[in-house]
Amino acid sequence: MVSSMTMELRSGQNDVAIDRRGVDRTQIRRMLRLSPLERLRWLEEFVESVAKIRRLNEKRTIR
Amino acid sequence: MRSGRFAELLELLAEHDVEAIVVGMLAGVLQGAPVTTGDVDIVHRRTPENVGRLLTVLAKIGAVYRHDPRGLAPGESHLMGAGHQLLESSLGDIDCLGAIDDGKTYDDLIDSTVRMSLGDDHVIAVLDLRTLIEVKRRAGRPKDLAAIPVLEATLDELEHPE
Repeated sequence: MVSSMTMELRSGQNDVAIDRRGVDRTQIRRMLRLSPLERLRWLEEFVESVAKIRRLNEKRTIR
Repeated sequence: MRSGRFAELLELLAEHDVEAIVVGMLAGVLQGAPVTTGDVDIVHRRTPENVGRLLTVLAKIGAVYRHDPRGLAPGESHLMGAGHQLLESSLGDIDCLGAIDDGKTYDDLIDSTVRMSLGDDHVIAVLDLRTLIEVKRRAGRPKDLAAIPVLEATLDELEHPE
């Protein structure tokens, strides 16, 4: 069970992390800590993961 | 979205001294924007020598038009023009753009780039974030406009780090 104090804390943390346009600044700061080559690897892994899930589900019917 | 070996593709272009500028969302990723894309967009310098080098790379990776069932490969005349050659290859999709943003060429854009190292002496030219944002704003398509808040926030983090 999450206490109301914890919920308030989380809400406060989100206010810092998410800017007024809804952009999560923590993701940007994490990316900026990587080298350009590491950023490319991050993208490759992300795209490959999505492609893999799509391949696994391509013959399934969506209801 | 098809998977691509983006780093390998950019390294290959650099290895063959292809004069090209990385544009599109990959330029954003390279500069730290947490966005995704499925292809490599480049604006290449349209001289016969450079197009020759680009054709060598494209042949090595088996690049063909991705919307053409005949598996046609681009030729020199295609890459010397201002049009957009949308290709697929063994390293993923690559779009070779003769010009972007209402006719801007490699020579028009090269002063608005940052040089980025991929290690092993490989350096690539990447359209700087501020110009990328301007290009996307002028393009005005929903997918371009949707990316602007993240690109602008990335620029802000770069200019005003915590």
